[in-house]
Amino acid sequence: MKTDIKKLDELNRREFIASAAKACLGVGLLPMAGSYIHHSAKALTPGSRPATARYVIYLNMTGAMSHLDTFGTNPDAPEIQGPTKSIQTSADGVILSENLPLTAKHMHNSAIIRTMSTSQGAHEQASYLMHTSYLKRGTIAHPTFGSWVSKLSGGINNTIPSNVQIGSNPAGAGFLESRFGPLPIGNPAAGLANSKLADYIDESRFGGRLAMAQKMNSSYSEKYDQKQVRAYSDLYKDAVKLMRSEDLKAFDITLEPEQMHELYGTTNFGQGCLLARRLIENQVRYVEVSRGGWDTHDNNFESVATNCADMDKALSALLLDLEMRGLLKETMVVLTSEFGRTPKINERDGRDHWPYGFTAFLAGGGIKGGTVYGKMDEVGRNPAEGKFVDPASLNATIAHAMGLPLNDVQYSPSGRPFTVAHDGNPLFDVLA
Amino acid sequence: MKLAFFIPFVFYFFSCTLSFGTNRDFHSIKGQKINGTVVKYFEDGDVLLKRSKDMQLFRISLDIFTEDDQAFVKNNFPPNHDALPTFSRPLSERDLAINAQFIDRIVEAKLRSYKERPNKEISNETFLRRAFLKIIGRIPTLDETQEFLAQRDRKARGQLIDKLLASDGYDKNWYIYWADILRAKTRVGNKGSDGYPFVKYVKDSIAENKPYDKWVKEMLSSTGPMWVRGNGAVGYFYRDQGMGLDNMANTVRVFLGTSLECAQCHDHPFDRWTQKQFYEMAAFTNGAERMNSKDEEMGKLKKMVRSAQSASPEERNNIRRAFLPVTDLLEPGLDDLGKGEISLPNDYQYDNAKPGEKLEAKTIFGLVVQLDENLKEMGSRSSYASWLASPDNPRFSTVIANRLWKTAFGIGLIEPVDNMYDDTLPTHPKLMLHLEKLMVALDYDIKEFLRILYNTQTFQREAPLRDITSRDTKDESMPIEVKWVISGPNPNFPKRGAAPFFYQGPTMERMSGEQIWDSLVSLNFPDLDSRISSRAPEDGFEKYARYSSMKAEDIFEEVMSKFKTRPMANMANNTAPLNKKCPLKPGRDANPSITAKNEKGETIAFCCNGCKNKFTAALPAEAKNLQMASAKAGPLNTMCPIKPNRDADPSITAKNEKGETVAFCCNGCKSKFAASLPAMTAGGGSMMMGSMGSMAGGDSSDSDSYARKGNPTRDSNSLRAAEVGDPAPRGHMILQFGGSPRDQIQVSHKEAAVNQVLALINGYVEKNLVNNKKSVTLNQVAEGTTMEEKIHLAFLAILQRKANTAELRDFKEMINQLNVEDYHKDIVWTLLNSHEFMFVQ
Repeated sequence: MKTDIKKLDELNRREFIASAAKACLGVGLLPMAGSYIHHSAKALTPGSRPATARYVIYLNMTGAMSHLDTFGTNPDAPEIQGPTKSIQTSADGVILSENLPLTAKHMHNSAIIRTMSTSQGAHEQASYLMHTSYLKRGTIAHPTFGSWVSKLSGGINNTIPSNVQIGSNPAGAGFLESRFGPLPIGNPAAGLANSKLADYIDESRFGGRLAMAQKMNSSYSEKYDQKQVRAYSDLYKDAVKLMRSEDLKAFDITLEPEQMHELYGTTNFGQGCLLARRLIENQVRYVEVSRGGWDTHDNNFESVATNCADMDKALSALLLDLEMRGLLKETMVVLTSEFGRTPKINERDGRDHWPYGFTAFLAGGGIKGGTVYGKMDEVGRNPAEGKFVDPASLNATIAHAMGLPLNDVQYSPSGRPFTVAHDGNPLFDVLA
Repeated sequence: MKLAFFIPFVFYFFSCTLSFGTNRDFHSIKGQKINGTVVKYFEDGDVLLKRSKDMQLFRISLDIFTEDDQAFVKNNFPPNHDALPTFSRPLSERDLAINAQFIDRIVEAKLRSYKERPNKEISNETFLRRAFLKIIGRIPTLDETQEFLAQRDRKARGQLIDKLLASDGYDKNWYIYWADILRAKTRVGNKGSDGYPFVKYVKDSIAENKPYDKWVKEMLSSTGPMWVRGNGAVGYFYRDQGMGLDNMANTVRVFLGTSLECAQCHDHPFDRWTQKQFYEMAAFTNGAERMNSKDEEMGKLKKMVRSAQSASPEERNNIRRAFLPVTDLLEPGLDDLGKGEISLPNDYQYDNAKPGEKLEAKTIFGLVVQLDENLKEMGSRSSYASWLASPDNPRFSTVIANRLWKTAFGIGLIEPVDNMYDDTLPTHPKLMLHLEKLMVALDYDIKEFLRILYNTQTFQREAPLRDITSRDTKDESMPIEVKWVISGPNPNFPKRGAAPFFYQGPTMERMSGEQIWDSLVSLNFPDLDSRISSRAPEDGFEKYARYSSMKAEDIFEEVMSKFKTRPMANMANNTAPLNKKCPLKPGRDANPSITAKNEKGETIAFCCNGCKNKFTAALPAEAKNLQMASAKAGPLNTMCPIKPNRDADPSITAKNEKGETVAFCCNGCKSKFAASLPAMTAGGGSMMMGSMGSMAGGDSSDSDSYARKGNPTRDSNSLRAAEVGDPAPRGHMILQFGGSPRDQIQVSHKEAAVNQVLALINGYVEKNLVNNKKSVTLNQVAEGTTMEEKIHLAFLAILQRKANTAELRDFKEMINQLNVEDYHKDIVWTLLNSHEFMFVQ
């Protein structure tokens, strides 16, 4: 038997160990042992699994979503829970807040990490850490996760960039080349800025102008035969190709039928999610959609309920839509925020900043459906089950599912080494 | 000049008395020994030694001595500057010519040594364009072009340089350069426009051409409240508030060209700096932190606000927010002048000190600094500032001279400009040394230094035509000290026919984001340089002066009375749509948060964004423009104006004082905005009058020197990049083309991206220029009487030259094919989409 194991390649060997353990010891039935197997597998082959998620849609709840009133309810601790009730979901034993009735129907495809924690308690710094896995420093700009994806995996579709940001923009490509940075879309309904000809210019007039400009430019690049000049010659071709391309339609949500707009909700965020789905269909690797309004120092319960009406609708629509199109199995949907909110309810009926425990919701490609990792104690300060998961490890988990090399070192211009998820380790418990 | 001469002399005298009589054994690396005293330490690294046994003088290169001996000399003797000439400023024509020629001769001699020749002199047309873009950051207007090209005077070029250096455009262009390096931002923390006083300070310092050493000293040692007029230098340290260590690393990088940031957390892996040394440096600025509310009145005010009686928690919050416009002005600033000591971190890992150990301030190189005896009163920051920004600190002059050289010629004599090691050599040490001396001799007068560079022949030569790359270290066909190489004619085999580069001419570069913006906008508004933004929070200074002289009770009274009489926050209702059902799909209910304005400016609601888009698409162009420009219906801001790093929720809106719809991230921000509104409009108006009055009256010379000069303009599409915003608003064309977001040091770039080209094809060029009936240049071109004249005018306005025969023929052919009346638009569009426009030749 020993010799047999040596002959197997890494992947098969790992599967063999897992199935052998399950068969011989029956440990597959015990949740703790399940994680043991994953961890030992990791010890064998760090970061070399084939990708289980080709695309990622990252839904960023800026302002810090109250985890206790969304994905991290704790009915055992009524002191901190406040008036928000819990409901059952499509996954046995997994509960969500009553604010998320639609998302509850997708829990069998989704996982929740309930012991997220971060070292930063101010919005900007915490958001930076979530996006880059590194602390914000005055001396260097780290690339966002989407920029890493773009750098390490490259695009599948060559006409449109592989990293798109809908809504607010926490940071960019950092020290990587700017082309890996996110393509910003301010208003999802307006689509990609400047991609359409003015309506009073017809094709032939545009063609005439373009031909003349190209004539001038070719003699210019003949004289100044330099890389920086040729880059723009190429870009004019790309831009025109993009303007005339079918791919441009990826940015145009007005092409979606009314029912789709309504399914997602006609809010900015709902429309952003709809655009995200169109982009994924067109093989954009990483799309982030942000939604603000979560900084509920005042009147937390009413505000969260209002926000959730929009968020729940859009998120469930996205999951449903992706599933119907057969895209969910290769698309990971992540929803989280920079930190959570205090278990203690303040005198203004609000919750304040709480970096010591919040939630990340993950669904679709690469995710083990119906899983909950960790549980916070009744005061909401320390894990009662599982360990704290830091932002770097959440990013490592996503990176691992995308098949990105966690050890690939990129150097900043001053020669400092950085990796996609810094010192984070994938949380194998939530990965399929 | 006197100053620069005087200080080294005093130091020299001082240090000599220190070491006189203390003979020392100097050891060479080879083990030889000489006993003597140091007489002089020359800037070029030689040392003049007097041998003890026979009093004989020797001039020896310091390089041959051991590290200890080298450190002894460098730490105790300032480099000698007594051979410097004195210049009266502005430089006389003769001094200017001599200095420019001197540089040309060095460059030409170097080229000769490579058997290379300098490039041809550029035409007047190219010179005009290059000078405008490099000195004032935009292309010349049609009038400026025609005026210059009509001259036949030999001195025209020198006169143009002088004119440009003295213009408003210079201030705006060089503000952009320094704002990128100094990370100037209007909003630094979360206290209103707390970065604005620094923005203003940088602009003022450039406008008055403040000597660079004085400027840097001010930034490194200022303290006190931010909004005191003229105290904006405080913003330099305040920019990194709470991150004193980062600030130290940034300072050393920006002004001494040395990268220390690694040593912040561990010994530098490639350089000799240790973490301990880093902390010793940081000890100079340690203690300078945010202003505390030590001020009694401020404490009282805060207490009163906290205890303000009110019924609902929401109202209590509104009261707190009503006071923000006051506290946001009173709180920002710096306390403490530096303690001169610091504790090592608790996880300190090296043997040379203990974790948590207290260290005293100590400089990393150059002369040893003695902390002032009256440390408590004087603080350590000023001694550190005088050490850093001094001709005796050799790197200080190297860095600025090299930076300015690079702006003129494209490549620094030392690259990169801010990551020098001990053994870093310039590509031409003698030229570098000369430029440093020149900088010192000119008393760090940046404008005079630039005037010399621009007057060189080297600046007025054609750019190399092919790529310039750094020499492959394995390439032995080039002399070993060659750093830069001009590629050969075949891009696939760039080494074939390659030649050493040494400033045969300045390099060709793409316009920066700001240059492109300023050039495009100047085509619409030729008076662009004289415009200033009317949105700058200039009234903060007067308001601060007023509040800081008031008693807490009075401030409280004033704000509360305004608060009570404010119109109740029902502003959002003003935007309530007219209709309940969707106009396009009458069967459906309209969603009141999805709205657009119709031709009459009324608000219409729709069932979905799809319908809204169809509706707006069908609107006539003018109505759409109206929507873009003034109405901003369906709130066009996507980011919350109160908390700019957050998304605005389009359903949470209010009207501003102009009646535009503004969206917020939360109801909190909305009520904050609403509460501040009456105060802002009322106060803003009267303050405006106040500052105008002082500008016109000029009774106080003090306020006069700080007044902003120019025509206040509201439309940011008609302002120069320096006035558009700090940084430019999100998604702005300036940022698309690589303008700095000002988060990090000098992160502006010139990388190509597809959205840049889209902006030139369909964005500002089409929407705001070619299709703009009021565009001055467009109309000037249209006035050409013949097709040929129109073509020439467009070429002159955009490329600063006339069309050649082939171009004339091609354009005529295009125009005849297009067969349209307004073909001047097509000429302008085409030229703005040409590479020749985008690059600075």
